[in-house]
Amino acid sequence: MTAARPLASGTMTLGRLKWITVLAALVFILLLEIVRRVLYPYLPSLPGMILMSAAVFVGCIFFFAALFSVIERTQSTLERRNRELLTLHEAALGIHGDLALETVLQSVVDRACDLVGTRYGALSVINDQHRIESFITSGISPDTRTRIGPPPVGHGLLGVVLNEGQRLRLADLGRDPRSVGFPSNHPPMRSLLAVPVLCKSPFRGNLYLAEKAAGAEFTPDDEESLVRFATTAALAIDNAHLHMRLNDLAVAEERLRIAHEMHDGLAQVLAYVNTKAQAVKVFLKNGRPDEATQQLDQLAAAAREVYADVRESIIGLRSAAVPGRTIADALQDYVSTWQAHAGVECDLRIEGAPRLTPNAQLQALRIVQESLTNIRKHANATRASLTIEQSASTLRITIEDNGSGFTPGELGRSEFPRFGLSTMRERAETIGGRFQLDSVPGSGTRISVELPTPAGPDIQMPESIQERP
Amino acid sequence: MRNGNLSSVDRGIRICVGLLMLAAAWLGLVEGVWKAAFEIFGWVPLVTGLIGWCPFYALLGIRTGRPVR
Repeated sequence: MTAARPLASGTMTLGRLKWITVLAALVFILLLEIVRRVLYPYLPSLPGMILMSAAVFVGCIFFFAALFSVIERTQSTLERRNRELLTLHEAALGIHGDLALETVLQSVVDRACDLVGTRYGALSVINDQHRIESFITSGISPDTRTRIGPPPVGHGLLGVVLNEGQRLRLADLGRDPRSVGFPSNHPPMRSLLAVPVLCKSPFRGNLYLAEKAAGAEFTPDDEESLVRFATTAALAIDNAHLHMRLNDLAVAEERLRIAHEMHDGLAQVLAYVNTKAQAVKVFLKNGRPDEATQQLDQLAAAAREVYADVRESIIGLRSAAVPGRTIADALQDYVSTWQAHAGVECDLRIEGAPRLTPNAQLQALRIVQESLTNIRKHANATRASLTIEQSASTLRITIEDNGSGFTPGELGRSEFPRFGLSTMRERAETIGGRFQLDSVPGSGTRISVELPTPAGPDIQMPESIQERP
Repeated sequence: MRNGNLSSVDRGIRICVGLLMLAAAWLGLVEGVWKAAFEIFGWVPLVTGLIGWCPFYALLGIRTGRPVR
């Protein structure tokens, strides 16, 4: 593991220091013995004593200087490694803050340049044909990019990292025999450092840095730093990929739900309309206008009902369609529109800032919408209330009404899906929550949903998960 | 030593002085206590010149050569 290197380096030097102190002391004693033998005839005299003292002094100087030198070197190495790790940590925090893939890739190049201290940086994205698909740069202005011409395809030195997947550290890339295809308007570059970015996601790429500050060459430490950074960058890129897939899945799931709703609701009503129209036709043909009128009244009632349903669905879809806002904003909008549409007064109370993942927000919104639809259609209520309470680890949603109520146990299985209760329960359970229904005939209905919430601040709905009505 | 603190000129002078001191002692150019002194302390400039690192310089923070990374 590359991250273990700085600590290992420091530990090894300190281990060596132990033996240096022991061996140096032994050598020192041995030298003193030799000096004592050389000076033996003169030791009783003053010059002999001065020489012996001088020899001891010089020996001490050698011993302590060597010891201090090793300690200082070890200390400076550890300090430098710590600084590097801190910079690496800051760079990693920077790239993990973003979730959009394009932003993450640009951030990776920019942070890599800052980390190693280079003027130019680039990240090549490789396609299935092993060619460079896109080339994200840092330190090169749009004008310069235009002057350079089309992006590289992976010949020359870029191809070495691309095809062989090996690191590259060059003092002067112009002197390397593999360096070919450098465009004429390309900014002059001498030093080059390139490492592959190994991800688990479909992304494959290489990170290139050129022109180290003050015309210096890249050192092995720079290479190790960049390799460590590339490992962190790969995690951030994988994370962005997963986030993108999660949003795609949430959108696909929601589309499937809309398709089911259209099949179960709209399509059934249209079939009913068709049957009624056939009946009207038969009654009119047989000269029975009263029965035909009765059928037409039922037809009109069905049309009104389906119109109300469709309108409510559109309101529900639109309430979540504004980018960058929270579930609290979406619920406030929805409830105020629903009150006017349903003619039922609804109190909305939100305690604390709701914290839900984008997918959980969508599911919570749909549960609330389904509950309010039931109140409008079946409860005969005059008042409803919606309470959202955010505690340390859960979000509780309570929807109550003062309507006619019902006995949940006596509700037939065929009726259950009609009220969308099983769908609501499934929605809560798919995001790890609990759904509870309490209702007594004549005393209204109460629905409670408890959803687990992640730690951290309120999460805004990302644009990519918004539905488009 | 990897991180020496002596320049090439410094090292050359030290090696020459060291060799001269030892030669003087061994060839009998000096006698008595001077011979012993040269024989002992002739090694100091010779060894420091050869390894390119001086402990006195290291303790005092003096450097006559360019630092090596």
